Amino acid sequence: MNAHFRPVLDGLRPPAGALRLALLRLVMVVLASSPALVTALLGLDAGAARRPYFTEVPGRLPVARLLQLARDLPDGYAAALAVSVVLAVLGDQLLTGGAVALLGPRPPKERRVLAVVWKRGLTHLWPFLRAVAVGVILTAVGAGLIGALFRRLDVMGYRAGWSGEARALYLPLASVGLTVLWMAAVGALVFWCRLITAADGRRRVRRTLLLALRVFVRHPLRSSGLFVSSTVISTLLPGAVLAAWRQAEPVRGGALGLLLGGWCAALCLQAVVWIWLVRSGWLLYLHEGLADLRATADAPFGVLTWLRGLPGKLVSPRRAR
Amino acid sequence: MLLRPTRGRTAGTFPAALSTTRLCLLAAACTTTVGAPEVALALDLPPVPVSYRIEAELHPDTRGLEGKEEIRWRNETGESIAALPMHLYLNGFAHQETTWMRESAPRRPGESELLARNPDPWGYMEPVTITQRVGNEEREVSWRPIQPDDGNPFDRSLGEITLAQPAAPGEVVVLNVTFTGRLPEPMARTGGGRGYFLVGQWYPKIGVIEPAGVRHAPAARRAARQFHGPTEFYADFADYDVTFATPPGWMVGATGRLAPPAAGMAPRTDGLVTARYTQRAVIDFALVASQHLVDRWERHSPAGGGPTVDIRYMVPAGTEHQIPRWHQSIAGALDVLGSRVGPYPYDVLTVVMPPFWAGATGGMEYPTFITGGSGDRLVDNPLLSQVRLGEVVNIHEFGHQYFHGLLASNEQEEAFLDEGFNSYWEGEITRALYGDAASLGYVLGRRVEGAELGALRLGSAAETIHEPMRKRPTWLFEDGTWSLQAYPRSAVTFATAAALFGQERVDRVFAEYFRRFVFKHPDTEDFLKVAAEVGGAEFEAFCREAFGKDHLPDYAVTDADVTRFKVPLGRIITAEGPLVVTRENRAQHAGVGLPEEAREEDGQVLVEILDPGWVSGSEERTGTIQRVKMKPEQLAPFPDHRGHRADDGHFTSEVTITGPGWATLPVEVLLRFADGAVVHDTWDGRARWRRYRVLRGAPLVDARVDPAHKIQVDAAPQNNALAVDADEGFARDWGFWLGAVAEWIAGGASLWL
Repeated sequence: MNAHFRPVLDGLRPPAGALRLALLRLVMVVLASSPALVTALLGLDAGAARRPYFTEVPGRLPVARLLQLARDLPDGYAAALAVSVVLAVLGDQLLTGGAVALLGPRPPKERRVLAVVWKRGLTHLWPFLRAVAVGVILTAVGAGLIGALFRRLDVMGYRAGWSGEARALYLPLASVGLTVLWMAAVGALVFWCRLITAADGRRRVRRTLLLALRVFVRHPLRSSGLFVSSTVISTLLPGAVLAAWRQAEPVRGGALGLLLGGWCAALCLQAVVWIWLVRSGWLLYLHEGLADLRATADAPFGVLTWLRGLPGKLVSPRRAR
Repeated sequence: MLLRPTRGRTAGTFPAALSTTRLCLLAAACTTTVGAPEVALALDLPPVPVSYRIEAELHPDTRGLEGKEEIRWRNETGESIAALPMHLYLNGFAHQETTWMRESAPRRPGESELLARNPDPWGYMEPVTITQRVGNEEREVSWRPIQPDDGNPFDRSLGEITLAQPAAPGEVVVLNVTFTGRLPEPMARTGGGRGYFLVGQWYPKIGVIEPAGVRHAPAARRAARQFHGPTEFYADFADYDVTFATPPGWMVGATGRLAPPAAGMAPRTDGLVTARYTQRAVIDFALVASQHLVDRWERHSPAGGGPTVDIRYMVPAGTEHQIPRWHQSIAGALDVLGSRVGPYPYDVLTVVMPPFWAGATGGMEYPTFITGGSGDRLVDNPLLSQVRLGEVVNIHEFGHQYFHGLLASNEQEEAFLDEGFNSYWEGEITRALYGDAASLGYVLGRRVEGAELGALRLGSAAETIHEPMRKRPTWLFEDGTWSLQAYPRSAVTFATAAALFGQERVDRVFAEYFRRFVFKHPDTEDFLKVAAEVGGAEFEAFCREAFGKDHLPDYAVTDADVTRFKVPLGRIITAEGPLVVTRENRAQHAGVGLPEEAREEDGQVLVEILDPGWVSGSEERTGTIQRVKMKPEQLAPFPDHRGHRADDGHFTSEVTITGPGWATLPVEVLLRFADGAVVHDTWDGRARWRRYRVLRGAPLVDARVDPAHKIQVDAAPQNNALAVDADEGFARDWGFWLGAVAEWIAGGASLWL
């Protein structure tokens, strides 16, 4: 059992530079989301925080005022949030390239983590971005299918006379849960695709995705299982902190400091988990049972070439003449 | 039936949450608000112009309905009538191109969902034969579908019967109709299947022909309209005698009371079981038939008088334990409406909580018969158990017994007279029963206040409202606005009236409106006449403006700024002669250029008020700038505000407020200063904006318009006050939290992409 999970457990033993990498990821997330943070702080300072309608409510904001506050969110917050997401995703591509290099069996001689991240990240950025695009498509398709499935289930429930509790509460919750799991599963695929790309210096995303899937088939728990479970937990935990923060409303002074501390701890946990995933993924990929995958050539499928030649094949030589 | 003027004591089933004190208040409200009548109104159920005797049967397997009816219609129009309108409401559900289906498309299940639920969801109603009794002869008469509203040739929800012999004024027309039909899959208000049927709008029904004078009709006129999506019904009061047959094992509940089988009615030989219900003087008749409902009876004597009411709750099996919650809401509604509007004149009420799957038949009002929210375990779930949605639906639907069950306005023309008035009373009842702070309960520990939610709903769509609330017909309001116009707008209008003119005056107006128009068909002008006579001219003017304005009012403080006073540069005349102030010598001449009044030695604050003037129709006022001395109220100072200390110089505070330009909506304005001084002003709100400028020894802290939040019809109450400085604690709490949310989403996205 221990030997079976050795890569997973060894991944917890951080090599040199891992702590700095985790810190870098933490800083990256904070910096990437700073446009939204700044927009929120400035916008509230000029808007809702000057309105006694919101500020003079003792205790938690009533539901109507909470909804009104959501409507009165600072202009540009949503746009800044979108920018934050794009920046974070881009930053993560660079970080992953650097992390795979730094946490791998042959770390570069360069000691400066930032320099490695920048150099190796840029090296793999283009295939990484294509992997992200595949991830976005898979996530959207999966979420759409899950939505359609639960709509059908709801209709089934309607016809079978299921209770309102089942249809209006448990089905939506199950739908959200399944969507989260699907997003995490797609995340595992994209993550492994990037890991293999950077580990082997590959460029062919579609073939690499298939290699990742083969890793999943051979070591489901140590690859996708570990990724899905750890990322879901490390994502839900900060979510719980956010929910607790709002339930503790109004948060002032020491309580605010405490919650911010809890929030930072949750972000740190997320960064550490990410390091663990990269490291254990590397160790698993080096497993001798995956040697054939590592040896697979990074050759294109030739689909585009075949498609380009298709018109010529469809037109007979005689007609062409 | 003569109503017993019972008052006060409730037999056995007194609602736990209604304290004795509150009931005393209700009783006091009754005696003080109704005014003229010393005791509860004793109402005879009046003679009515129409009666129906219906025998029908339900075939659950096919959702089929078959029946026959004898309709007696007395011609009260004062004119000879050759044709009668006839509602065939179920035809609204016949196919996708009916007027109802077209207009309700945004609110009903879409095509795919509808067909997925049931590939054959359609309903219909067809008269098979119609005869008119002329002497002892039954003469066949013809009918045809008509579409007076939209000309939609595919709509058969309204028909016209051409009488074999025209009806002279005062004559009673007797029609015998056999009909066949089918209930739809539940989409709205009616329908069923799988052991539950809400049988509503289900029989051929004579449409209204208004005599001259009713609803200010200049001459007799047809008021019957097609079945429209946004609005519901309008009907004559009628007596009903309905015998309904179902297969054995089905429970039936209906408008009115269960009665013995009609004399001379032969027992059925087809195995069906019959139930006969009768009710006098109601505008419609509906029933429920189910294999899965159970029933419980409660009894309540309303605080405002009227007969003791037997209340039958019909709920899905397994949810009987929820009945005390529903009964508390219904009994409370009977008490509040009975004591402040008028006594409920019937002695029976059936409350149906439909199963969740048939929720589309819930939230519907029929006379002495209402459907509430779904009876379901969902109500008991800890996440939702503290929310009073079911209670609110019950209260709202019961309120319709008054608006328009008894005050039978035309809902298709003026829906706010019933939906809006009823929404106002829904708010009053929930507040009386459950308190002001959280009348709708709690969600995750947060208060849910009905009035605030209604105002939010209205305010969030305020920019889409471009028509007066009283505009006719309601079903032709701009897309997406009819429900706002019909429901919350009217509710917040009366809440505003209560705050401006006093609750007692509003109650008195409603009590008189009820007294005059119960069992009649009032319109907006009828209500306004009562408002003028009982509420006074200014009350009526407010209602008239609120009903007639094409936009919602919004008072706002748009600007509140403070600048430190500086000695002005330049050549200034002082008591010692001219003085040239420069940047270099400015510090040596502190106090130069400061008006004497700014020192406030007489304890009064000098306020400069800029009123830009206005023009409205033939009225106008020229703009002015006035300097007015006001005596401030003195409250505790804000010592740390902007580092202000006593003798810390002078400050110019400027406040700009904007208003709706209404004529009947004066508002209080309040300016609070750091030294605790509070300046009060009243603005008539006729100009679109107003500016205050104050130079004094303390800076402004905040400015408020309508500080007591009397104007609940204000579309955006959140902008009614503005502080000079942000609340730093609030900004940090929410700012960092929003930042953390962004980090959470960005971090999650980067982890999974």
